Amino acid sequence: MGVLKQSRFYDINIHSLPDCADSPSRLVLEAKDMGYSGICLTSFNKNNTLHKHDIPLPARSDFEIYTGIEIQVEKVAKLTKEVSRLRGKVDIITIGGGNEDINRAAVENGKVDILSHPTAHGKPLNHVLAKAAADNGVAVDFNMDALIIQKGGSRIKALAAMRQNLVLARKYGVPMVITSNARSHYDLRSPREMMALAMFFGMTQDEALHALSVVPQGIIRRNTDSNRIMEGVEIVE
Amino acid sequence: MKILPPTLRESKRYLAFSLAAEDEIYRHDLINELNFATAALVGEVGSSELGMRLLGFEDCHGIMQCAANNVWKVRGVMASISSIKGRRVRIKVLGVSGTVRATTQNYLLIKDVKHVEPERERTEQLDECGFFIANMAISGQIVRRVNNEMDILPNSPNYEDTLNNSGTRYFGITVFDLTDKEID
Repeated sequence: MGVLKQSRFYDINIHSLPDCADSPSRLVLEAKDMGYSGICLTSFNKNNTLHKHDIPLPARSDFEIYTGIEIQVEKVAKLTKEVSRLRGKVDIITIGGGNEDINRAAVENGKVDILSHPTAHGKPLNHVLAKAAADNGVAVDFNMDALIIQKGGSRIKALAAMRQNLVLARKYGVPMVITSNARSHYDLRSPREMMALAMFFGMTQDEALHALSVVPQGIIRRNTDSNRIMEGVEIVE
Repeated sequence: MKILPPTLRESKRYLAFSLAAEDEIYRHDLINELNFATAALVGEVGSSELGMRLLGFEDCHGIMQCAANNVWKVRGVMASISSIKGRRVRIKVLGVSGTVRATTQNYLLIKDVKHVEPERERTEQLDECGFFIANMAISGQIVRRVNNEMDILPNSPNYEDTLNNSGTRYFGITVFDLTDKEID
């Protein structure tokens, strides 16, 4: 258990006011209380408007807060446009997946960080998408709200699809992240609870730990490091 | 009748947990929901293996007994609960111990971590308040306040969509968001 206690956990897909019901500072306090080291507040709306959060100081002391956006699009052409528009402005770019075309466009775009809820329509990824995701370094998200909010048939489908995604991610070495995709603080779960939920669809404890701490840290580091220009190009003095 | 010798008894663990809810939650409702959630997630065979039993539940904190080799599954089951009787809830496991005494002493009797947050002197108690977030000025009634966290029922019906989108009944804010800092 030593590893668990030392790890720094991140939840990198949390929605706040004005898109959803809780204020950024409330989510920060709740996440801090649950044992996270940092969160990413992602704007989540139809127009892909980016909200800058102004969080009062007492709430954000010793806590890392990042800005992100979950891009929702219907068409592939729009996705590319939105990604290039927002790339320099946010720390983490997430694509709200589900649709097969959108999933494909997201994993083939190296500027995208995370493909969120790829199984929203109940269908898992396939070998082509998994390979593309591994090549472009796009992380595949296992969103726990599918297991928390949904019940019955849709949850069975989500579990089955996630199990399949896990097999593909293992085979092709796709980075995996576990996020809460929270719309209110009632959707947040502490890191160990998230790991416990992930273990229901076959993740090992180590994989779940990795998906909650190491992979998000890597994504944050590569996007906030000012010396990094693009994949493989870096200023080294 | 002789009781079962300790070596033959099933090994157990005790989980201390806290529950955050929109409204007051009664013990029997929680037990019902726990049984339902366990059956829904792991089935009846799985439920029998977990050996879950609610030992105590009071003031939003409780102790859950379970089989020692299934603690992670029990955590998962408890995490999968999202609402009880239509009210949103969230269960957080505070810690796991091998005895009820250790659980109580290590996790339930310690001071609430939230009190560490700086709290300002309260001068007067108000029912109404306003806050301003991302160009939205919202005013509403204070439904509940715990330390720095408060739940707000908005006065205007314009925000129903936002609340429905989140599946909650109240806006969750903190005292740091308030426009009128004098109220607390």
